[in-house]
Amino acid sequence: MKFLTTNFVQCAVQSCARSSDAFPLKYSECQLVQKEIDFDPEFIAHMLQKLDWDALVEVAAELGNSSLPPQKPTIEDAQAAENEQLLRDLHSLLLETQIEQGVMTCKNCGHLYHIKNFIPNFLLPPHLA
Amino acid sequence: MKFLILFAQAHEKFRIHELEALAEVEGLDVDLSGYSDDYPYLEVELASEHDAKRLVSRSFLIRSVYRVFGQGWSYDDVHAQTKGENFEFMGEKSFRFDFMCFQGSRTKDQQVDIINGFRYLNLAGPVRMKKPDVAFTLIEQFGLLEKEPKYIWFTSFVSDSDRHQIDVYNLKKRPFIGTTSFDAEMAFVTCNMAKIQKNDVVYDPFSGTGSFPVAAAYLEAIVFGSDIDIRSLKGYDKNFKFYNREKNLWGVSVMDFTHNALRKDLVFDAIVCDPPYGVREIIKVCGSKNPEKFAGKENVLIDNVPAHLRPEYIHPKRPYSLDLLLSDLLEFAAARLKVKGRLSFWMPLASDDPLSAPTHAKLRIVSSIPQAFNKWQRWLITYEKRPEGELGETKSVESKQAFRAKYFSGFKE
Ligand SMILES: C[S@@+](CC[C@H](N)C(=O)[O-])C[C@H]1O[C@@H](n2cnc3c(N)ncnc32)[C@H](O)[C@@H]1O
Repeated sequence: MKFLTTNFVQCAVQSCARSSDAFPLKYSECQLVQKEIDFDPEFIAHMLQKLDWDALVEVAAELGNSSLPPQKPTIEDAQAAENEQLLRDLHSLLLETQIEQGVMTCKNCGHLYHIKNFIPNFLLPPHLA
Repeated sequence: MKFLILFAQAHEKFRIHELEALAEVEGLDVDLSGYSDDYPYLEVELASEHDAKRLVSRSFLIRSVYRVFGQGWSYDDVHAQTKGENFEFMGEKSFRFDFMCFQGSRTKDQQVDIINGFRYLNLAGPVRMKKPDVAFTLIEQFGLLEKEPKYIWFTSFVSDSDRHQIDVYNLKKRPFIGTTSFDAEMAFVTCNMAKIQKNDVVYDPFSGTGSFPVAAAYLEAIVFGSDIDIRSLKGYDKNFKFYNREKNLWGVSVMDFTHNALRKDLVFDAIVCDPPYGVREIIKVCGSKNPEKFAGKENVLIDNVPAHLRPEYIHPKRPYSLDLLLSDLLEFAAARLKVKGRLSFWMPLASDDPLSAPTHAKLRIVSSIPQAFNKWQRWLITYEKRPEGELGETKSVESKQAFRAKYFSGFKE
């Protein structure tokens, strides 16, 4: 599971749907792996628009990366030299950093989900389905 | 300017719908009323070669497009019209002549004679067989066993479509496929019906081996895929790596569609899928068949950890109906698509069953197109989310549960 995916998944339990605590999930016991992916600055700049920045900063910190700026950066020219380092860092964090194993916990209901072999599993047990 | 679109001689019922969607995507106002499923040709008026290229270059059911200079039932007609055209644009441009003969052929000598007939064009540039600036093309339609063509177009080649990608994306060439994989050609057509474009956010909630996400990623969309069955997801990213689209895959997870874990404020530009219909894979959701049996099970501990929270826990499933699943799908699409975003999905039926596509007040049905197989058919149904405040009629879903029964009884009834 790409680090990026943490920005798009929340608790699957029905009663958590409206809770603001159901996203992002809390990440623990994670094993991270770096996988090389081609760098495309335009794509990363576009990706920024789709991100929930607060959630990104929060999850990155849980996984040991506290270097993200607190506010979402605005990138006007993805090819400009002064933006390259930031875009490369984001590329490396969002796309290349992948979670091989780990636990995701809902901060609202406390239910936990597993990531195994890079795939997160959001299936629910009968009493929560 | 007049152009001639040449369609692939396949999937006749889908061709015009794909072209309509592409014209809308490109914002081209073009009259397509001359189309007929019976012919692979369509003449259209467009402002420029550039527009013609935009119109067809992303199609999978068109072969190519040509600019028309003259046409008719005989070469006299063709020359009469061509002489009225202005060829100043040729200047010193290099050129060659090609022949495309349908249901007939031409000998080399005949070709030379015909080409000589165009001497009046006074072309100043050089003849170049390899990559000329302009490839004049004589398109000739013969009648069965006739020596002379019935109809002729004198054209220049403008653009090919994207149809050659069907071969590149052929399932046989992919590192990872399964029994549910969907053929590349129709997966691409599905994406075009859903108007998927670069950087769009696209979701396949029943993604299995990822046939639709792979096709959408080819179109440079951002894709999410999920499936209730982990087995099909295990080689998922291999295909994205193979086609160099790893960056386009933003999330793949094990998920019961009816208990969705994608964040609620994520807006989709398109949803494309092939829902389970109970033949090769059963329709199931999380939960237990008899809840009494499971009462209190959430308190079972193994090594002091609740059993259902352990990594190796197997989530019980219960059967679900296709009708319910489809109405969940429409409800989800209505809530999560952007306005004018599209849902395109496939629905199988026995050959003689009439289609009754499910409806939703917030979704307009764009088209329902059948693809016939031996004893069954599948329909591609496309919906578009209506603008806020505009509501259509809802029709409750009629039972299509019979499909599975009919499939297994060999469609005898
Ligand atoms: C017709 S297959 C689609 C296959 C896919 N297009 C592919 O490329 O392999 C339907 C899929 O739906 C999945 N499925 C069945 N019930 C589901 C549910 N409740 N939630 C999510 N997926 C489900 C099945 O596991 C199966 O992979």
